[in-house]
Amino acid sequence: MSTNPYLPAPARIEKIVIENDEKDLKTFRLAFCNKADEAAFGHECGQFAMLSVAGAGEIPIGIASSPLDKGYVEFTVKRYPAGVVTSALHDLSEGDVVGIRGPLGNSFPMKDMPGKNLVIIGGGFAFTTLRATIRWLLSGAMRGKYGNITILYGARSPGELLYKSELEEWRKRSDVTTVVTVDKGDYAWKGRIGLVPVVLKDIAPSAVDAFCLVCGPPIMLKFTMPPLLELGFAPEAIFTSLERKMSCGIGKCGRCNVGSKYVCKDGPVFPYSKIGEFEDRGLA
Amino acid sequence: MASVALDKKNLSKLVAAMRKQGTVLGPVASGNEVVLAEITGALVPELEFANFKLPLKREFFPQCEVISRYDKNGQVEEPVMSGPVVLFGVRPCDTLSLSFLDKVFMDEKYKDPYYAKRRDNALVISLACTAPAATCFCMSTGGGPSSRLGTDILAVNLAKSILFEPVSNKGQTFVKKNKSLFRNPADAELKAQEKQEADSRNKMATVEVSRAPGSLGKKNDPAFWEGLAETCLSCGACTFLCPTCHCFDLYEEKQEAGSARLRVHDACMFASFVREASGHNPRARKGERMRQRIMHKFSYAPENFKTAFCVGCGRCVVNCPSNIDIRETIAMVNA
Amino acid sequence: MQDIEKKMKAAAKKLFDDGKVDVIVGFRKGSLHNSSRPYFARSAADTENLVWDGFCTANLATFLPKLFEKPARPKEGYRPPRVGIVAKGCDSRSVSGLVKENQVPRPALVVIGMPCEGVRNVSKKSKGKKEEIARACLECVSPAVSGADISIAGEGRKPAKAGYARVKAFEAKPAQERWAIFTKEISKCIRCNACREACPNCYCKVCFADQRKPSWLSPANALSETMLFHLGRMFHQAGRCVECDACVNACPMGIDLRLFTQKLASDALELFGSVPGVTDDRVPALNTFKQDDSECFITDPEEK
Repeated sequence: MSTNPYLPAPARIEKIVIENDEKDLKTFRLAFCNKADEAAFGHECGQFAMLSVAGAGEIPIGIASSPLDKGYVEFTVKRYPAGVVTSALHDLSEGDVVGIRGPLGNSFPMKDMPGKNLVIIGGGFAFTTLRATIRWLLSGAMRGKYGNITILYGARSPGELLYKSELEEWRKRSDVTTVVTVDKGDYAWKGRIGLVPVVLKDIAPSAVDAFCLVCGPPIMLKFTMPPLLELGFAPEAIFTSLERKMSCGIGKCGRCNVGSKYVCKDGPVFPYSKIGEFEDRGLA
Repeated sequence: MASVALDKKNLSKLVAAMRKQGTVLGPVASGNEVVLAEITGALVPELEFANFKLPLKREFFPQCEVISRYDKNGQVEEPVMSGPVVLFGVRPCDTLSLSFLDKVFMDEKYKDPYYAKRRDNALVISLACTAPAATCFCMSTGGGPSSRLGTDILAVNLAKSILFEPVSNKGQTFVKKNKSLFRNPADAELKAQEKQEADSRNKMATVEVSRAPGSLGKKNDPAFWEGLAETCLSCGACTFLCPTCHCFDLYEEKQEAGSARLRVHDACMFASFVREASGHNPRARKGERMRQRIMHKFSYAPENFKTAFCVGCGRCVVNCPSNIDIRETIAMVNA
Repeated sequence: MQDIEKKMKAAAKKLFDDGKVDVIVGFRKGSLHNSSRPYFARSAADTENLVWDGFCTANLATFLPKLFEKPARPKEGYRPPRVGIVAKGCDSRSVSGLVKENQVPRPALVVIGMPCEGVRNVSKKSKGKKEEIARACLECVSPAVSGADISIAGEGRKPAKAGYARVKAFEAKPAQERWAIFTKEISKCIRCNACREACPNCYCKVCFADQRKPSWLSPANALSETMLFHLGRMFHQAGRCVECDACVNACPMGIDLRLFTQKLASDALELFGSVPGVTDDRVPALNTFKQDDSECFITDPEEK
């Protein structure tokens, strides 16, 4: 096994799940071709990896599977028409080989939260690393280590919801509160309708002894932070994940920085107190 | 470590000794310029020149380098890299840049094997500066005309001889191996070295680089940066000529037998540097890109690496087509 | 020269005092010995900083497309800024081209025409002595500003006769020698893009060299990529290049780009009777077709 941080490990596409009606969101289940690479991967919730498609390039994608899921790693990728790699990736089939370089970045500081309550808020397709975290939390070994868990997940429409079957499973469980909402329903939708910040105010989870993990598009984050702060969550107790265009993913190419921090190396997970600092200096 | 002296008439013998160590790159006259090129045949290195147009980083971090290849069988291979090299006659400002780039490329967590191998393969023999240009300010950036940072041996060009001061173990090994070429320096020579260094230092202008991190912490006004970048062409000349700029891109190139991943120089000054596939560009405005460049060099680098990423070589000042002067920028920031 | 500078500054100040411009693009003193540099004067007080001397080298027209760029979501009642430009002959040739290509709305531009004596060699260039007039100026066929809104009086250069002796001499060399010269010059390129950004005609939002879907060339300075970049850029300049030497002066490596630009100008004159920015073509030569256009490049490529 190489110590070269630029070399991807080959992985075969085992399964492709089309997540949305638009068919531009796919979850790729990948299995490392070499057992040694699989053993060395061992990621934590919140981390990302660089996915490479030969002849196209590499892109940073959040790891959507739990660290306890054995034998595979999952990534949910949106296809951008102007994107060289996302387009190439979406054109691949089960059985094709891609490259994985990682795990990279920091993780949600779950070790700092033993016994605490967790509020997990996701919007749109920024739900991927949160899904990894929820799978991990709800696994037998981990559930007992944390207090109440509240999940709030919203998408633009029912067709845009990711991981639909899993949302159903979580809703059925009694050891977690799962609230799913859409901005706009359709003829079959019988669930909640409302923007995430509005629904958040409605369900008003307690901030006592609680941490919050929130990921979503910038506009959603902008309107979700004020209600969170109002509910009593301290900025140091709210964690989010930033995204920037990346090349190396290991803090050398100078591209992904927000201020003096590299999203690939010092992030992508940052406490909201840090985001506030970035915003004050006009950097975010 | 103790200096040794070489009589100039023996310079070609020294070059021969260097050749036993590796390919020798040194100052070579080319047209009416002096460039860093291979010293072949009976060529003797130039000793009277200002500095090379191109920065030393290119010998360790080339403009274009193959990082890996991917062939039909799906194997990911590492390509072979270059062999031992002796870099002679590079200036202390350029070797100072190596000590900064080492912090980026050879950190604990993700050591860059390409840069590291080139660093390992190279013996750096720098040449102390005697004629700083009006645009030089290396003394304000932690360097100096005789700075020993980043080099293996510091050479000093005197009237009839050249002094060689080993700085690293690698340098000391080279001097010991070739001790028959050298002799002990005379007192007069050591005095001449001191005088030369003092004269050069006196000629150098100062720029208040050390105050910049603090001042930049307070500079949040977008109008300041937009005004500064008004005449900027977003070209990248400053970045590509800067000894400490290290931004790069990984470009995948389809080839006949699969594909190759290239590392190529890139510049935060380019409009497309952080433009995303969605079309969103966090630094769409020139002022934002100018702020990124200045902050990276004079605020973020000091925060992350305890030093500003500038060696005071003046290349950006001389080569900017719009004559945007980093010395003036720092003065304005500090004002 | 100082008298001309005074008149130019007075005219510039008057434009602000009369509320006729939002910004004037000119020159101010440079920070290097014997240099002047581009400057945006945004008020009457700013016009004090304007200079006019033998170091006003840059082609200021390169700033115009950006200044007139319409915002993605223009506000109600948006109007383009009113821009003044302190123009030499070469600047005004570029302006003429940009107006034809709809990058500059002429009514929003005030051209202050300067009597240009030619500029001195740019200090960082290693060829030529510092005090000599630049080669581009010695060979300039159109130093006078045409279509100026304000003409500053003074003695400018006389136009040189159009002659492309250097291009002809190059063309007469055998192919192998031409290839060797081309390779040697282009090998100096570090792909910094200064030539492209300094050129007023290079205003594409995404340059062909930076396109990725599809990708025509890589950013590497491998010889094939570098040659493709320069040849591609030159082909896009055909019939448009005004031989201002902005690219030559911007290039930190001193590449002889003038050999290419003169080839373009020589061809435009010979094949289409066009001198970009001077002859009164309604559209650039390669954007239109006339019945009697030479077809020799198809029928007999080796012949002219």
